[in-house]
Amino acid sequence: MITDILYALIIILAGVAYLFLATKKRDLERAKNNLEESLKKSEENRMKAEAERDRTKTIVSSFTDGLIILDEKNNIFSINHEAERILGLENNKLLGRPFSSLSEFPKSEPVAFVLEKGIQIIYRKEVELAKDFVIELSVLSLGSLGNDIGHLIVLHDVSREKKVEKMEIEFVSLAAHQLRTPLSIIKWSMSMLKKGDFGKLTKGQAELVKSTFRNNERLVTLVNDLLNITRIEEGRYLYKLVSVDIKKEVIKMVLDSLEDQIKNRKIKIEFVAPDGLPQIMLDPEKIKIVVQNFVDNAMKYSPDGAKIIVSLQNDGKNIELKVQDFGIGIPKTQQDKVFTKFFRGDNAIRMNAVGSGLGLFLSKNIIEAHGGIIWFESIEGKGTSFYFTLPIKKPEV
Amino acid sequence: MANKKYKILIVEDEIDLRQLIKKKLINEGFDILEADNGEVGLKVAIDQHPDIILLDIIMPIMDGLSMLKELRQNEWGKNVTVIILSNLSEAEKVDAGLEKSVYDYLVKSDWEPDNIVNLIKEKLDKKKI
Repeated sequence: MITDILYALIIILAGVAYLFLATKKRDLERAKNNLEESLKKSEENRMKAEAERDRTKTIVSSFTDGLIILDEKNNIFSINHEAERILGLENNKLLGRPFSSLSEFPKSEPVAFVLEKGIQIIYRKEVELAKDFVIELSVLSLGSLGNDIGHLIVLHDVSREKKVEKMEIEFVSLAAHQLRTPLSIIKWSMSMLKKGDFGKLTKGQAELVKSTFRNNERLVTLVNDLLNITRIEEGRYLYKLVSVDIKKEVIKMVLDSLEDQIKNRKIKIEFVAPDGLPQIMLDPEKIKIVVQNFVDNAMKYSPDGAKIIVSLQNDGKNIELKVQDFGIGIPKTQQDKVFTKFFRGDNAIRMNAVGSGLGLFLSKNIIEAHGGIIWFESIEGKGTSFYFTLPIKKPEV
Repeated sequence: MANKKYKILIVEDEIDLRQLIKKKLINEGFDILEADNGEVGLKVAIDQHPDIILLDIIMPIMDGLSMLKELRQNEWGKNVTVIILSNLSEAEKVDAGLEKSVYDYLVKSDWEPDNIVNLIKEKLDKKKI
Protein backbone atom coordinates (compact mmCIF):
# COMPACT_ATOMS: atom_id res chain seq x y z
CA MET A 1 0.00 0.00 0.00
CA ILE A 2 2.68 2.46 0.97
CA THR A 3 4.83 1.45 -1.99
CA ASP A 4 1.89 2.20 -4.32
CA ILE A 5 1.62 5.70 -2.93
CA LEU A 6 5.38 6.17 -3.21
CA TYR A 7 5.38 5.01 -6.84
CA ALA A 8 2.54 7.37 -7.59
CA LEU A 9 4.37 10.23 -5.93
CA ILE A 10 7.56 9.49 -7.86
CA ILE A 11 5.68 9.39 -11.11
CA ILE A 12 3.95 12.68 -10.30
CA LEU A 13 7.22 14.33 -9.30
CA ALA A 14 8.91 13.04 -12.44
CA GLY A 15 6.08 14.47 -14.50
CA VAL A 16 6.34 17.86 -12.83
CA ALA A 17 10.10 17.84 -13.21
CA TYR A 18 9.74 16.95 -16.88
CA LEU A 19 7.23 19.75 -17.43
CA PHE A 20 9.45 22.16 -15.53
CA LEU A 21 12.50 21.27 -17.58
CA ALA A 22 10.55 21.40 -20.82
CA THR A 23 9.39 24.94 -20.02
CA LYS A 24 12.87 25.98 -19.08
CA LYS A 25 14.24 24.48 -22.27
CA ARG A 26 11.68 26.42 -24.25
CA ASP A 27 12.60 29.63 -22.42
CA LEU A 28 16.29 29.04 -23.03
CA GLU A 29 15.68 28.38 -26.67
CA ARG A 30 13.64 31.54 -26.91
CA ALA A 31 16.38 33.48 -25.13
CA LYS A 32 18.95 31.97 -27.46
CA ASN A 33 16.91 32.98 -30.49
CA ASN A 34 16.50 36.49 -29.12
CA LEU A 35 20.21 36.77 -28.52
CA GLU A 36 20.92 35.54 -32.00
CA GLU A 37 18.46 38.10 -33.36
CA SER A 38 20.10 40.83 -31.28
CA LEU A 39 23.55 39.83 -32.41
CA LYS A 40 22.40 39.79 -36.02
CA LYS A 41 20.81 43.25 -35.64
CA SER A 42 23.85 44.52 -33.81
CA GLU A 43 26.04 43.25 -36.58
CA GLU A 44 23.80 44.92 -39.15
CA ASN A 45 23.87 48.18 -37.25
CA ARG A 46 27.60 48.02 -36.90
CA MET A 47 27.95 47.54 -40.64
CA LYS A 48 25.51 50.37 -41.27
CA ALA A 49 27.46 52.62 -38.89
CA GLU A 50 30.73 51.71 -40.54
CA ALA A 51 29.27 52.40 -43.96
CA GLU A 52 27.95 55.71 -42.59
CA ARG A 53 31.33 56.55 -41.13
CA ASP A 54 33.11 55.66 -44.37
CA ARG A 55 30.64 57.79 -46.30
CA THR A 56 31.16 60.73 -43.96
CA LYS A 57 34.91 60.25 -44.04
CA THR A 58 34.88 60.33 -47.84
CA ILE A 59 32.66 63.42 -47.88
CA VAL A 60 34.76 65.26 -45.28
CA SER A 61 38.02 64.26 -46.88
CA SER A 62 37.08 65.42 -50.36
CA PHE A 63 34.90 68.40 -49.34
CA THR A 64 35.70 71.58 -51.22
CA ASP A 65 35.90 73.65 -48.03
CA GLY A 66 38.53 73.06 -45.38
CA LEU A 67 37.09 71.04 -42.50
CA ILE A 68 38.68 70.46 -39.13
CA ILE A 69 36.80 68.29 -36.66
CA LEU A 70 37.52 68.76 -32.96
CA ASP A 71 36.47 66.28 -30.33
CA GLU A 72 34.80 67.26 -27.07
CA LYS A 73 38.20 68.07 -25.52
CA ASN A 74 38.95 70.37 -28.49
CA ASN A 75 41.67 68.07 -29.73
CA ILE A 76 41.99 67.63 -33.45
CA PHE A 77 40.04 64.61 -34.62
CA SER A 78 40.50 65.11 -38.35
CA ILE A 79 41.77 67.62 -40.90
CA ASN A 80 40.75 67.30 -44.54
CA HIS A 81 42.87 67.97 -47.62
CA GLU A 82 41.46 71.40 -48.30
CA ALA A 83 42.16 72.53 -44.74
CA GLU A 84 45.71 71.32 -45.10
CA ARG A 85 46.07 73.30 -48.30
CA ILE A 86 44.55 76.45 -46.85
CA LEU A 87 46.56 76.40 -43.65
CA GLY A 88 49.82 75.21 -45.16
CA LEU A 89 49.93 72.09 -43.03
CA GLU A 90 52.33 69.66 -44.64
CA ASN A 91 52.90 66.21 -43.22
CA ASN A 92 50.89 67.29 -40.28
CA LYS A 93 50.99 65.11 -37.23
CA LEU A 94 48.27 67.07 -35.60
CA LEU A 95 45.72 64.34 -35.02
CA GLY A 96 44.93 64.01 -31.35
CA ARG A 97 46.75 67.23 -30.45
CA PRO A 98 45.00 70.31 -29.06
CA PHE A 99 43.68 72.91 -31.48
CA SER A 100 46.15 75.50 -30.24
CA SER A 101 49.02 73.56 -31.84
CA LEU A 102 47.91 75.03 -35.18
CA SER A 103 49.75 78.20 -34.24
CA GLU A 104 53.00 76.30 -34.77
CA PHE A 105 52.37 76.59 -38.50
CA PRO A 106 52.99 80.18 -39.69
CA LYS A 107 50.34 80.08 -42.41
CA SER A 108 47.63 79.14 -39.90
CA GLU A 109 48.56 81.86 -37.47
CA PRO A 110 45.68 84.20 -38.41
CA VAL A 111 43.12 81.48 -37.74
CA ALA A 112 44.77 80.36 -34.53
CA PHE A 113 44.77 83.99 -33.47
CA VAL A 114 41.01 84.36 -33.89
CA LEU A 115 40.44 81.35 -31.68
CA GLU A 116 43.28 81.77 -29.21
CA LYS A 117 40.89 82.74 -26.42
CA GLY A 118 39.04 79.50 -26.93
CA ILE A 119 36.75 77.75 -29.35
CA GLN A 120 33.57 79.79 -29.85
CA ILE A 121 30.76 79.61 -32.36
CA ILE A 122 31.60 81.82 -35.34
CA TYR A 123 29.62 82.47 -38.49
CA ARG A 124 31.55 83.36 -41.65
CA LYS A 125 34.19 85.64 -40.28
CA GLU A 126 36.58 86.97 -42.90
CA VAL A 127 40.19 86.20 -42.11
CA GLU A 128 43.07 87.34 -44.28
CA LEU A 129 45.74 84.68 -44.42
CA ALA A 130 47.99 86.44 -46.92
CA LYS A 131 47.80 89.06 -49.64
CA ASP A 132 44.85 88.21 -51.93
CA PHE A 133 44.19 85.08 -49.85
CA VAL A 134 41.05 85.50 -47.79
CA ILE A 135 38.89 82.84 -46.15
CA GLU A 136 35.56 82.82 -44.33
CA LEU A 137 35.94 81.07 -40.99
CA SER A 138 33.01 79.34 -39.32
CA VAL A 139 32.95 77.28 -36.14
CA LEU A 140 29.95 75.06 -35.52
CA SER A 141 29.02 72.93 -32.56
CA LEU A 142 28.60 69.23 -33.21
CA GLY A 143 26.01 67.31 -31.25
CA SER A 144 22.57 68.40 -30.13
CA LEU A 145 21.37 70.50 -27.21
CA GLY A 146 23.71 70.20 -24.29
CA ASN A 147 25.31 67.11 -25.72
CA ASP A 148 28.75 68.40 -26.66
CA ILE A 149 30.60 65.99 -28.89
CA GLY A 150 33.00 68.54 -30.38
CA HIS A 151 33.21 71.28 -32.97
CA LEU A 152 33.48 71.62 -36.72
CA ILE A 153 35.73 74.32 -38.13
CA VAL A 154 34.95 75.34 -41.71
CA LEU A 155 37.43 77.26 -43.86
CA HIS A 156 35.82 78.69 -47.01
CA ASP A 157 38.18 80.23 -49.57
CA VAL A 158 36.75 83.54 -50.86
CA SER A 159 39.92 84.86 -52.47
CA ARG A 160 38.45 84.85 -55.94
CA GLU A 161 35.26 86.63 -54.90
CA LYS A 162 37.32 89.28 -53.13
CA LYS A 163 39.47 89.77 -56.19
CA VAL A 164 36.43 90.17 -58.43
CA GLU A 165 34.94 92.62 -55.94
CA LYS A 166 38.12 94.65 -56.05
CA MET A 167 38.07 94.66 -59.84
CA GLU A 168 34.43 95.75 -59.90
CA ILE A 169 35.13 98.64 -57.58
CA GLU A 170 38.10 99.72 -59.64
CA PHE A 171 35.97 99.49 -62.76
CA VAL A 172 33.23 101.64 -61.31
CA SER A 173 35.75 104.27 -60.20
CA LEU A 174 37.43 104.23 -63.57
CA ALA A 175 34.10 104.43 -65.40
CA ALA A 176 32.95 107.33 -63.24
CA HIS A 177 36.20 109.15 -63.86
CA GLN A 178 36.02 108.56 -67.61
CA LEU A 179 32.44 109.75 -67.75
CA ARG A 180 33.09 112.81 -65.64
CA THR A 181 35.98 114.07 -67.74
CA PRO A 182 33.94 115.08 -70.80
CA LEU A 183 31.01 116.06 -68.58
CA SER A 184 33.15 118.53 -66.66
CA ILE A 185 34.50 120.00 -69.88
CA ILE A 186 30.96 120.59 -71.14
CA LYS A 187 29.91 121.94 -67.76
CA TRP A 188 32.74 124.46 -67.61
CA SER A 189 32.26 125.49 -71.26
CA MET A 190 28.54 126.08 -70.83
CA SER A 191 29.08 127.81 -67.49
CA MET A 192 31.55 130.26 -68.94
CA LEU A 193 29.41 130.88 -72.05
CA LYS A 194 26.40 131.50 -69.85
CA LYS A 195 28.28 133.99 -67.68
CA GLY A 196 29.52 135.97 -70.67
CA ASP A 197 33.16 134.92 -70.57
CA PHE A 198 33.12 134.53 -74.34
CA GLY A 199 31.16 137.67 -75.06
CA LYS A 200 27.54 138.66 -74.91
CA LEU A 201 25.03 136.08 -76.15
CA THR A 202 21.80 136.70 -77.99
CA LYS A 203 18.64 135.73 -76.16
CA GLY A 204 18.33 132.60 -78.26
CA GLN A 205 21.94 131.63 -77.70
CA ALA A 206 21.63 132.20 -73.95
CA GLU A 207 18.56 129.95 -73.77
CA LEU A 208 20.31 127.22 -75.69
CA VAL A 209 23.37 127.38 -73.50
CA LYS A 210 21.28 127.29 -70.32
CA SER A 211 19.38 124.28 -71.61
CA THR A 212 22.58 122.46 -72.53
CA PHE A 213 24.03 123.23 -69.12
CA ARG A 214 20.91 121.97 -67.37
CA ASN A 215 20.86 118.71 -69.26
CA ASN A 216 24.53 118.17 -68.75
CA GLU A 217 23.85 118.57 -65.03
CA ARG A 218 21.38 115.69 -65.29
CA LEU A 219 24.17 113.48 -66.56
CA VAL A 220 26.54 114.65 -63.86
CA THR A 221 23.95 113.88 -61.18
CA LEU A 222 23.23 110.50 -62.71
CA VAL A 223 26.89 109.52 -62.73
CA ASN A 224 27.26 110.66 -59.11
CA ASP A 225 24.17 108.77 -58.05
CA LEU A 226 25.18 105.59 -59.85
CA LEU A 227 28.62 105.74 -58.31
CA ASN A 228 27.15 106.21 -54.85
CA ILE A 229 24.57 103.48 -55.25
CA THR A 230 27.17 101.01 -56.48
CA ARG A 231 29.30 101.78 -53.49
CA ILE A 232 26.38 101.29 -51.11
CA GLU A 233 25.51 97.97 -52.66
CA GLU A 234 29.06 96.78 -52.39
CA GLY A 235 29.21 97.84 -48.78
CA ARG A 236 31.97 100.25 -49.73
CA TYR A 237 30.07 103.44 -49.03
CA LEU A 238 32.37 104.88 -46.43
CA TYR A 239 31.19 107.30 -43.83
CA LYS A 240 33.63 109.75 -42.29
CA LEU A 241 32.06 111.08 -39.14
CA VAL A 242 33.11 114.43 -37.80
CA SER A 243 31.63 116.77 -35.25
CA VAL A 244 29.71 119.35 -37.23
CA ASP A 245 27.56 122.46 -36.85
CA ILE A 246 24.74 121.26 -39.07
CA LYS A 247 23.30 124.75 -39.51
CA LYS A 248 26.44 126.34 -40.90
CA GLU A 249 28.44 123.50 -42.37
CA VAL A 250 25.64 121.57 -44.00
CA ILE A 251 22.38 123.41 -44.57
CA LYS A 252 23.72 126.84 -45.24
CA MET A 253 26.29 125.44 -47.67
CA VAL A 254 23.63 123.55 -49.60
CA LEU A 255 21.39 126.62 -49.81
CA ASP A 256 24.36 128.70 -50.99
CA SER A 257 25.19 126.23 -53.73
CA LEU A 258 21.59 126.38 -54.97
CA GLU A 259 21.56 130.19 -54.93
CA ASP A 260 21.51 130.61 -58.69
CA GLN A 261 18.59 128.28 -59.20
CA ILE A 262 16.68 129.83 -56.32
CA LYS A 263 17.20 133.32 -57.75
CA ASN A 264 16.26 132.34 -61.29
CA ARG A 265 13.02 130.74 -60.25
CA LYS A 266 12.27 133.42 -57.65
CA ILE A 267 11.83 130.78 -54.97
CA LYS A 268 11.48 132.17 -51.42
CA ILE A 269 13.49 130.07 -48.99
CA GLU A 270 12.59 130.50 -45.32
CA PHE A 271 15.28 129.02 -43.07
CA VAL A 272 14.20 128.57 -39.44
CA ALA A 273 16.65 127.25 -36.87
CA PRO A 274 16.98 127.76 -33.13
CA ASP A 275 20.16 129.13 -31.60
CA GLY A 276 22.53 126.95 -29.66
CA LEU A 277 22.10 123.77 -31.65
CA PRO A 278 24.61 121.19 -30.44
CA GLN A 279 27.25 119.86 -32.77
CA ILE A 280 26.58 116.34 -33.98
CA MET A 281 28.65 113.52 -35.37
CA LEU A 282 27.86 113.05 -39.02
CA ASP A 283 29.45 112.73 -42.45
CA PRO A 284 28.95 116.23 -43.85
CA GLU A 285 29.41 115.29 -47.52
CA LYS A 286 26.74 112.61 -47.29
CA ILE A 287 24.25 114.61 -45.24
CA LYS A 288 24.66 117.48 -47.70
CA ILE A 289 23.51 115.07 -50.40
CA VAL A 290 20.33 114.42 -48.43
CA VAL A 291 19.59 118.07 -47.74
CA GLN A 292 20.29 118.96 -51.36
CA ASN A 293 17.96 116.20 -52.40
CA PHE A 294 15.14 117.45 -50.17
CA VAL A 295 15.46 121.03 -51.38
CA ASP A 296 15.86 119.97 -55.03
CA ASN A 297 12.66 117.97 -54.83
CA ALA A 298 10.81 120.80 -53.13
CA MET A 299 11.82 123.13 -55.95
CA LYS A 300 11.12 120.58 -58.65
CA TYR A 301 7.56 120.07 -57.58
CA SER A 302 6.75 123.71 -56.88
CA PRO A 303 5.85 126.49 -59.32
CA ASP A 304 8.07 129.56 -59.83
CA GLY A 305 7.88 132.08 -57.04
CA ALA A 306 6.82 129.48 -54.51
CA LYS A 307 7.82 129.38 -50.85
CA ILE A 308 9.90 126.62 -49.32
CA ILE A 309 10.42 126.33 -45.56
CA VAL A 310 13.57 124.69 -44.21
CA SER A 311 13.46 124.21 -40.45
CA LEU A 312 15.66 122.60 -37.82
CA GLN A 313 14.46 121.39 -34.44
CA ASN A 314 16.16 119.95 -31.40
CA ASP A 315 14.23 117.68 -29.03
CA GLY A 316 17.21 116.86 -26.89
CA LYS A 317 17.82 113.42 -28.31
CA ASN A 318 17.63 114.14 -32.01
CA ILE A 319 17.97 116.99 -34.44
CA GLU A 320 15.12 117.05 -36.93
CA LEU A 321 15.23 118.70 -40.35
CA LYS A 322 12.05 119.50 -42.24
CA VAL A 323 11.83 120.77 -45.80
CA GLN A 324 8.32 121.86 -46.66
CA ASP A 325 6.97 122.89 -50.04
CA PHE A 326 3.53 124.02 -51.13
CA GLY A 327 3.63 122.45 -54.55
CA ILE A 328 1.89 119.64 -56.29
CA GLY A 329 2.41 116.92 -53.70
CA ILE A 330 2.86 113.19 -54.27
CA PRO A 331 -0.15 111.15 -55.44
CA LYS A 332 -1.35 108.78 -52.74
CA THR A 333 -1.01 105.76 -55.03
CA GLN A 334 2.70 106.42 -55.40
CA GLN A 335 3.59 107.26 -51.83
CA ASP A 336 4.83 103.82 -50.90
CA LYS A 337 7.37 103.88 -53.73
CA VAL A 338 8.98 107.17 -52.82
CA PHE A 339 12.18 105.74 -51.38
CA THR A 340 12.70 103.13 -54.08
CA LYS A 341 15.23 103.35 -56.86
CA PHE A 342 14.32 105.48 -59.86
CA PHE A 343 11.11 106.83 -58.32
CA ARG A 344 9.70 109.83 -60.17
CA GLY A 345 6.30 111.31 -59.43
CA ASP A 346 3.99 111.01 -62.41
CA ASN A 347 2.58 114.43 -61.79
CA ALA A 348 5.89 116.31 -61.92
CA ILE A 349 5.41 119.75 -63.38
CA ARG A 350 8.85 120.22 -64.65
CA MET A 351 9.48 117.71 -67.39
CA ASN A 352 13.01 118.98 -67.61
CA ALA A 353 13.61 118.41 -63.94
CA VAL A 354 17.19 117.54 -63.12
CA GLY A 355 17.29 114.28 -61.25
CA SER A 356 17.93 110.61 -61.66
CA GLY A 357 15.28 109.21 -59.38
CA LEU A 358 18.00 107.71 -57.21
CA GLY A 359 18.22 110.64 -54.82
CA LEU A 360 15.70 109.53 -52.20
CA PHE A 361 16.88 105.93 -52.26
CA LEU A 362 20.39 107.16 -51.57
CA SER A 363 19.14 109.61 -48.94
CA LYS A 364 17.32 106.88 -47.05
CA ASN A 365 20.47 104.79 -46.97
CA ILE A 366 22.54 107.70 -45.73
CA ILE A 367 20.15 108.73 -42.94
CA GLU A 368 19.61 105.18 -41.73
CA ALA A 369 23.34 104.51 -41.73
CA HIS A 370 23.63 107.49 -39.38
CA GLY A 371 21.06 105.92 -37.06
CA GLY A 372 18.37 108.39 -38.06
CA ILE A 373 14.88 108.19 -39.49
CA ILE A 374 13.61 109.59 -42.79
CA TRP A 375 9.96 110.11 -43.76
CA PHE A 376 7.57 112.44 -45.49
CA GLU A 377 4.01 113.77 -45.46
CA SER A 378 2.27 114.76 -48.63
CA ILE A 379 -1.14 115.81 -49.88
CA GLU A 380 -1.67 116.02 -53.62
CA GLY A 381 -2.30 119.60 -54.63
CA LYS A 382 -1.29 120.99 -51.23
CA GLY A 383 2.39 120.20 -50.83
CA THR A 384 4.97 117.90 -49.33
CA SER A 385 7.17 117.86 -46.27
CA PHE A 386 10.28 115.71 -46.07
CA TYR A 387 11.84 115.00 -42.70
CA PHE A 388 14.92 113.36 -41.27
CA THR A 389 16.26 113.00 -37.77
CA LEU A 390 19.83 112.49 -36.67
CA PRO A 391 20.68 111.31 -33.18
CA ILE A 392 22.70 113.76 -31.13
CA LYS A 393 24.81 111.07 -29.52
CA LYS A 394 27.58 109.55 -31.59
CA PRO A 395 25.81 107.13 -33.94
CA GLU A 396 26.90 103.60 -34.77
CA VAL A 397 27.74 103.26 -38.43
CA MET B 1 44.48 142.15 -54.15
CA ALA B 2 45.66 145.67 -55.17
CA ASN B 3 48.61 145.90 -57.54
CA LYS B 4 50.20 142.50 -57.22
CA LYS B 5 49.29 139.99 -59.88
CA TYR B 6 48.96 136.56 -58.40
CA LYS B 7 50.46 133.55 -60.17
CA ILE B 8 48.39 130.42 -60.57
CA LEU B 9 49.93 127.15 -61.78
CA ILE B 10 47.52 124.82 -63.59
CA VAL B 11 48.68 121.19 -63.70
CA GLU B 12 46.17 119.36 -65.90
CA ASP B 13 46.60 117.01 -68.85
CA GLU B 14 43.19 117.59 -70.50
CA ILE B 15 43.86 120.45 -72.92
CA ASP B 16 40.23 121.55 -73.18
CA LEU B 17 39.85 121.82 -69.45
CA ARG B 18 43.14 123.60 -69.01
CA GLN B 19 42.28 126.16 -71.70
CA LEU B 20 38.91 126.89 -70.10
CA ILE B 21 40.15 127.49 -66.59
CA LYS B 22 43.14 129.41 -67.94
CA LYS B 23 40.85 131.78 -69.85
CA LYS B 24 38.68 132.26 -66.81
CA LEU B 25 41.60 133.04 -64.54
CA ILE B 26 43.20 135.42 -67.06
CA ASN B 27 39.86 137.26 -67.29
CA GLU B 28 39.96 137.58 -63.53
CA GLY B 29 43.40 139.16 -63.65
CA PHE B 30 45.67 136.30 -62.69
CA ASP B 31 48.96 135.31 -64.27
CA ILE B 32 48.96 131.74 -65.47
CA LEU B 33 51.59 128.99 -65.51
CA GLU B 34 50.77 125.66 -67.13
CA ALA B 35 51.93 122.05 -67.03
CA ASP B 36 50.40 118.94 -68.55
CA ASN B 37 51.90 116.37 -66.17
CA GLY B 38 53.24 116.13 -62.64
CA GLU B 39 56.90 116.09 -63.57
CA VAL B 40 56.75 119.37 -65.49
CA GLY B 41 54.38 120.74 -62.86
CA LEU B 42 56.87 120.04 -60.08
CA LYS B 43 59.69 121.73 -61.98
CA VAL B 44 57.64 124.82 -62.83
CA ALA B 45 56.37 125.08 -59.27
CA ILE B 46 59.79 124.99 -57.71
CA ASP B 47 61.24 127.34 -60.34
CA GLN B 48 58.47 129.90 -60.40
CA HIS B 49 56.88 129.76 -56.91
CA PRO B 50 53.22 130.23 -57.89
CA ASP B 51 50.82 131.50 -55.26
CA ILE B 52 48.30 128.75 -55.87
CA ILE B 53 48.55 125.36 -57.60
CA LEU B 54 45.53 123.78 -59.26
CA LEU B 55 46.39 120.10 -59.45
CA ASP B 56 44.77 117.25 -61.38
CA ILE B 57 45.35 113.69 -60.19
CA ILE B 58 45.19 111.35 -63.15
CA MET B 59 48.02 112.44 -65.46
CA PRO B 60 50.69 110.65 -67.49
CA ILE B 61 54.37 110.45 -66.52
CA MET B 62 53.83 111.62 -62.94
CA ASP B 63 50.38 111.77 -61.35
CA GLY B 64 49.09 114.51 -59.07
CA LEU B 65 49.49 112.75 -55.74
CA SER B 66 53.10 111.80 -56.48
CA MET B 67 53.85 115.38 -57.45
CA LEU B 68 52.19 116.63 -54.27
CA LYS B 69 54.21 114.27 -52.11
CA GLU B 70 57.46 115.49 -53.61
CA LEU B 71 56.33 119.10 -53.51
CA ARG B 72 55.68 118.88 -49.77
CA GLN B 73 59.22 117.74 -49.18
CA ASN B 74 60.52 120.94 -50.70
CA GLU B 75 61.33 123.86 -48.37
CA TRP B 76 59.07 126.26 -50.27
CA GLY B 77 56.67 123.62 -51.51
CA LYS B 78 55.80 122.63 -47.94
CA ASN B 79 53.55 125.64 -47.56
CA VAL B 80 52.16 126.46 -50.98
CA THR B 81 48.38 126.34 -51.32
CA VAL B 82 47.26 123.40 -53.42
CA ILE B 83 43.74 122.88 -54.74
CA ILE B 84 43.21 119.41 -56.17
CA LEU B 85 40.84 119.37 -59.14
CA SER B 86 39.95 115.81 -60.00
CA ASN B 87 37.15 113.67 -61.30
CA LEU B 88 37.71 110.91 -58.82
CA SER B 89 35.44 110.99 -55.80
CA GLU B 90 37.32 111.73 -52.64
CA ALA B 91 36.78 108.22 -51.34
CA GLU B 92 38.92 106.87 -54.14
CA LYS B 93 41.94 108.84 -53.13
CA VAL B 94 44.49 106.13 -52.92
CA ASP B 95 47.13 107.62 -50.75
CA ALA B 96 46.19 107.79 -47.11
CA GLY B 97 49.47 109.43 -46.27
CA LEU B 98 48.32 112.86 -47.36
CA GLU B 99 46.19 114.61 -44.78
CA LYS B 100 43.19 116.76 -45.60
CA SER B 101 44.77 119.85 -44.11
CA VAL B 102 47.37 120.22 -46.83
CA TYR B 103 45.03 120.62 -49.73
CA ASP B 104 41.47 121.23 -50.84
CA TYR B 105 39.78 118.60 -52.95
CA LEU B 106 37.27 119.54 -55.63
CA VAL B 107 35.46 117.21 -58.00
CA LYS B 108 35.59 119.00 -61.37
CA SER B 109 32.15 117.90 -62.50
CA ASP B 110 30.59 119.29 -59.32
CA TRP B 111 32.09 122.78 -59.55
CA GLU B 112 31.78 125.65 -62.02
CA PRO B 113 34.79 127.83 -62.91
CA ASP B 114 33.19 130.80 -61.07
CA ASN B 115 33.14 128.86 -57.80
CA ILE B 116 36.73 127.77 -58.27
CA VAL B 117 37.73 131.41 -58.76
CA ASN B 118 35.88 132.36 -55.56
CA LEU B 119 37.71 129.66 -53.65
CA ILE B 120 41.03 130.87 -55.04
CA LYS B 121 40.25 134.44 -53.98
CA GLU B 122 39.27 133.21 -50.53
CA LYS B 123 42.55 131.36 -50.11
CA LEU B 124 44.58 134.33 -51.30
CA ASP B 125 42.77 136.62 -48.88
CA LYS B 126 43.50 134.25 -46.02
CA LYS B 127 47.15 134.18 -46.89
CA LYS B 128 47.39 137.94 -46.77
CA ILE B 129 46.42 137.92 -43.11
